[in-house]
Amino acid sequence: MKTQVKIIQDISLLYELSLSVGSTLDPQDNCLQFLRTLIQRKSLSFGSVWLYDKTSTGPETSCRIFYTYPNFRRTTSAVVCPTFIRDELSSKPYFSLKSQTPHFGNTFQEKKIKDGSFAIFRLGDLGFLKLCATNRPDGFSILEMEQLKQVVDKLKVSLEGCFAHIQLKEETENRLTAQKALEESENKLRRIIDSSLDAVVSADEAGMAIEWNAQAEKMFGYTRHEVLGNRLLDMFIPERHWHSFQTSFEEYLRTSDEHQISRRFETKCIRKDNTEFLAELSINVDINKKNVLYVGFVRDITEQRKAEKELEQAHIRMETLISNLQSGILLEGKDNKIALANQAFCNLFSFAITPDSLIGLDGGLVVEQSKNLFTDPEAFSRGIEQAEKNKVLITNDVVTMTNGKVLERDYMPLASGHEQLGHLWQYHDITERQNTEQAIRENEEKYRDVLQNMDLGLLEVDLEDNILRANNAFCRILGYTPEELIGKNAGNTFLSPSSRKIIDDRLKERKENLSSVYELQMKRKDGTLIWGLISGAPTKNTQGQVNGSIGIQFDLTDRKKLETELAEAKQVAERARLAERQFLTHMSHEIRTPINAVIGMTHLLDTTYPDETQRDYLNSLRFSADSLLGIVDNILDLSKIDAGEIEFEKKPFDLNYLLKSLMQSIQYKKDPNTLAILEKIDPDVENLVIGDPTRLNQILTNLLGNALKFTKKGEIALQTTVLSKTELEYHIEFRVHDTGIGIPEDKHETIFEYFKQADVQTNRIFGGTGLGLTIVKQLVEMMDGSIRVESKLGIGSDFIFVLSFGNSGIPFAGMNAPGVLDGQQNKHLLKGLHFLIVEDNLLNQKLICKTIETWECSFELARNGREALEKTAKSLFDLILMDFHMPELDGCEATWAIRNDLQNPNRNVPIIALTAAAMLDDKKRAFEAGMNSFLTKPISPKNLQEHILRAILEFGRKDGSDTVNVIHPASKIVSTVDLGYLLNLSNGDILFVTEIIESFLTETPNYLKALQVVAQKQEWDQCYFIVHRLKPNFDMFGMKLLADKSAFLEEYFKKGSLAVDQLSELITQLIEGANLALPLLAQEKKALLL
Amino acid sequence: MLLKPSSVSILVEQIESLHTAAGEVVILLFAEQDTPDIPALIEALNARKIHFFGGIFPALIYGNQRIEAGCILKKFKYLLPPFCVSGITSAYFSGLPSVDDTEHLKNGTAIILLDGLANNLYHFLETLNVLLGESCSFIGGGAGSISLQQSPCIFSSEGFLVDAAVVCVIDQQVSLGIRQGWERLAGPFVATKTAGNAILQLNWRNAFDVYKDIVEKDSGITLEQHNFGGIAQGYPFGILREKEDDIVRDPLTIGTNGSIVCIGEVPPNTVLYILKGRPEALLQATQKAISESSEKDGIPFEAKGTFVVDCITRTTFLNEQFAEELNIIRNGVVINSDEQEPYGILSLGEIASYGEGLLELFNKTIVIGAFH
Repeated sequence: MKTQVKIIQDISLLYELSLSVGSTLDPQDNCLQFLRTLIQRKSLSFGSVWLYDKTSTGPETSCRIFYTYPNFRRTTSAVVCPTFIRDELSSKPYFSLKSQTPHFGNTFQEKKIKDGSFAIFRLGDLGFLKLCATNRPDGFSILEMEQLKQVVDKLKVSLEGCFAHIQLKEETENRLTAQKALEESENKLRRIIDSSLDAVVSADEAGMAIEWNAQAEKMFGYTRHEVLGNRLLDMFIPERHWHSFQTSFEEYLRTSDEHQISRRFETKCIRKDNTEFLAELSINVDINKKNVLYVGFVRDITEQRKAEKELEQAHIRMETLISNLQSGILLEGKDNKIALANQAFCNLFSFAITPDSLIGLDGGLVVEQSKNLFTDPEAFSRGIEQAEKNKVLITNDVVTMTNGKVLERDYMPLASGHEQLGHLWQYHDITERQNTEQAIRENEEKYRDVLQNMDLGLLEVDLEDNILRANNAFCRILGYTPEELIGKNAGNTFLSPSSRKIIDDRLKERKENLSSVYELQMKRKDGTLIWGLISGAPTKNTQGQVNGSIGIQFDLTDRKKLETELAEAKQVAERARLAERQFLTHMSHEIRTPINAVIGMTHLLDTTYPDETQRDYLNSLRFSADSLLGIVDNILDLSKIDAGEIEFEKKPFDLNYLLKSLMQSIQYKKDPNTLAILEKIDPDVENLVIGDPTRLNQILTNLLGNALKFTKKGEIALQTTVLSKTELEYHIEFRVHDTGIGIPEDKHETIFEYFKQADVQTNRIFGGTGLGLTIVKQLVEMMDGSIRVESKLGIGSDFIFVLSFGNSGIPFAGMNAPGVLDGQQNKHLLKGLHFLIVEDNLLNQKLICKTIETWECSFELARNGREALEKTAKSLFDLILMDFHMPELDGCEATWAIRNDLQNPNRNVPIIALTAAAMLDDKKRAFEAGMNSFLTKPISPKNLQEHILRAILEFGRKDGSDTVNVIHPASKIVSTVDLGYLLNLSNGDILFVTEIIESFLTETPNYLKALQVVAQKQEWDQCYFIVHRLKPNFDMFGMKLLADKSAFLEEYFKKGSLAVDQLSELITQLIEGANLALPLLAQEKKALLL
Repeated sequence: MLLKPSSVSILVEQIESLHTAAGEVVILLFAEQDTPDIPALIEALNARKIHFFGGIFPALIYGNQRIEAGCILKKFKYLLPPFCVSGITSAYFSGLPSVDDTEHLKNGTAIILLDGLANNLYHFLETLNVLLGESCSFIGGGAGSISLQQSPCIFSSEGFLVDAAVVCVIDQQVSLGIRQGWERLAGPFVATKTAGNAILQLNWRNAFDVYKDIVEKDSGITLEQHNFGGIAQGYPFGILREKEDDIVRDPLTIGTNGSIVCIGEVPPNTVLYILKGRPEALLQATQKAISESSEKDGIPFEAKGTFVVDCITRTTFLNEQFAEELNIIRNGVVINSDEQEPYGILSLGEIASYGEGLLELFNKTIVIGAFH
């Protein structure tokens, strides 16, 4: 069974291989098919087909690999066959080598076989087949070799067939190639003749045309057909030249040594159209094959003659040009003989002969003769020798002459194709240019030195910020060497990231041709940061285009350091000052609050009918509290002055009124029996003056207080004198006079200093802090005034100061501001209002509540900001009094919260700040938070009333209106009523006036309601109608502002030039103003009837 | 290193933890269940300039475990960086590098991963043999899905590819053990007419008729279209290779005109046998393969690592006994460190060079490569 399988396997192998060979005539393909099948089937490693090289004789190269499988071309392409294989095969059809065989190691070992076998088979005369197997360590068996021999023979037969086929194919191809070459050659000749620029014609012995090429057809106008068979001479020589041509031709034939050698002669030819042309003719006579054959080449030389003539003319033109050139020209032929020179050359070389006389001379001779004209004769002639030897173009070679001239010479070899024709020397006199350039160079050198060595850094960059130049100082400042910087990107090299943007902006500026100076932080090579002040400017190329920028750098690092230190020091100082101020504010609050309570309480106690003793106690109490408050105020004032925090108002006030009230207030402080109070006020102040009444009051109170303190008997006087007055200004001298203890002369200066009284003793007797006069002096001086003292010890003192006030132009009699409204009237206006009092101090609470009760007003109380928020959320108030400093939520925070809560009904209600502190910062904070007014404690009932009234009138509630911005300042409506016009009109008929008022009071609220409705609907026509109706009434009742507002509105309704929200705002203001005015009018009516 | 199914980011983290240096490559072998987003992985590794290649296989082998989901990572020094060849089904595939000098590759091993469901691999393998066969040994296998649906399964920095191969020559010598253990049932037959993977005639007769006669007689089961796959996996063809195991071709389906379509090409006029599987014989073959791989020039050595390419159809045939196959492999290996745990792929076709011989594509075979 096993044998049977084996037989089947063998047969199948034979079958498989038989099928795989002979399927193609390509020998390589054949090898592939055969080897692939065999190697796979027999599990071999490698196979190769080797062929004998029949053309070679040497044993080493007599065999080469024809094919391998796998096709390892890389390692097998250059392998030679060991001789012994050939030797072995000459006697055997095959043999096997195993690793033990002596020859094994000598054979070419595919795949680096160590343990395995080769089987080598002769392929007839072709060569041999080599198989290798790594899995047959003991060699191929005889049986296997026999079996393989059978199949290898198949390959042999197949390959023989292939090669025979190839040989046959090659022979056929060779024959075809030869045939093709012959045809090619004939065609080529024909093409040459046809494409010849010459007309090629030929004639037989009898002169009959037998060849006439394409060019001849073109040249003479006859077709080949027309010419062939005719006498050639007749065809193309004009008849009149026949004879001379014949003669010349015979002469030509006679003088030729060999008839085959051609010569050329010129003759006239004629075309078919009878035009003539000059031609060059050459004729070959061929008599080799018995028949004589004339072959003629005819060339039309008309153009050639023309070109020669043009060339000659060009030559003449060029000669003229050269002789007139400013440069010296010397043209030499290839034999070095001078062919041309010009006058300039002779002049430069000081030849006292004409240029023509140089022609034909040897160039070398000229060099020899003139070389001593040059500072370095050898260099001069060597340069010429070398140039003429190398025959390469030389330009701008500079030579210097002994006479100081500098020449630049150019050498131009002249050639036509590869043929050398000679050369041309050109000499330019560049002495002038050389000198100028030298000057520029020296100049540049000087500046370069300056730039390089100056103490400022200099950096030049191109448009991409690449460094072109950096001077020594720059390198030193940045810590680089110049070589480390040139070519680098400046930004990347020494910019700190924060500076990047700055430099990018600057680069942009440079590109726009702008210069700038800026500070820049840069990074040194060692990483430390430095500051530089840079002055940068664009650089430009010769065309004026910006091509980069240049910057000068001043090292600012030390200065920057100093600046930083200074800034830090300043910050420290400011922090200290802030701390001091906060301390003072705090102190003043802490001290003033209880004093306020004390003073307020004494006022209240006064209203409880105290008996005589109690009243005395109360007076003492009040006096002490006042004094203490005075001291605290003084200290506070001084610190304010020191801090530059004091501010001066500029508002119109009645100076006379102020002075009179002041004098009144001290009347009851003095002992009427021993002391007289006098006042002498200059009546020349008829208008309200503009200035700060509070501060003036303070100065005078202080001085009068001192006077009171130090004067036991005699008089105290206040005197004012108008020193000058203009439409703009009053210049007034104030004098406070007393007959007190007086001040010794040597103390006149020091009394104005801090804590200085005239005498330590004085303090003990009279008390006081010694701050009063200091404050007075400072205040006067801060109001641009001056103060002095005139005093005699024991006799009395005069304190004199001069101040300037603005002239308001308003007579003080006409003033009608809320501030001066009479108390009764105010009280009346306040009646029925509902207040919120926010105050944490119990005593202050009582004081304020009591005061408000006396005005017949209602109020609610909140003990801190948080409670205030709760209350304001629930009910609507007419006004809020808000303490500044409170626990939990202070006044500012609470105000801010009310103002910014859209749901809070009180967000537009006036809020007055109450504070014991009175620093500027507080005031600022209060207004920023949204408070409308600012009242410093202690609170007097009058002061409180005035503030409240002003706040109500100015900032009164605007229901539902969120618009806080007022169109223009004049739009704030202060309601006033004046019945003068009506009373005048009616000649004081009160009944009539009250009737008019009555009807106005009845119908106006309806109009106002209607106005509100149509305004909301934005029906402006209706609005206009109502406003138009109301306006005359406002006029009639002296409601001037309301009338003005109505006129204003009418105007805008007509023009339609206001935005909707602005119109709405104006209408709301009008309605509110009218609603405020109506009660006033009702009051007036009542008053009339009384 | 064996990883559980992981996200791309975790994989990248693990790969980074291998600290591949210049001249090193990471091989990633994925089991087909729960594979990560391969294109994202490629992008991430490319961004980190890591050399890598790999494939997705029906399952993996690690130690004596069959791994259905997860990834095996291995780092090697390479002699020739990984290259992808696409369009390997056609004769006009592209992507072969030009290797001018193979001298430096001579102690290397070419690892080949290719699309196991691509056809006509013969031409590609022959070309690869010519390119690298002079110098190095080969080991590798077919990637793809057990579902036999062709889809991208090969990847390298060049992409995630179908009908493609990736090859890398690593700087390690390998000793190979290639065995299959299938026994001849009938033959020889000459495949007198074939077309690519299909056998049309055996001994000038309709191939299916010949096959059916023999298999039905042996199994006692009538062979029909519907049960062909199940029965035929126990009766593969073997292509005669004198002095070596027959090269197994796995019959897959009955084609038109009674042809039998195999996995892997059958050249015309090939001499074939019909083989039969016996679990004991297969396991003996495994034992032989592991023994052969652990010897170099007849001397046993301790392998630095053992790469196993085992045909997925052996697992279906061996069924529960497959665990034994894995035990045989693991027991045949010296394990002193994790790196020495055998690892590998359950493949669709196995690739190796027989001794110093030709590069072959096998079926139903176990190829064990022990690295020196």
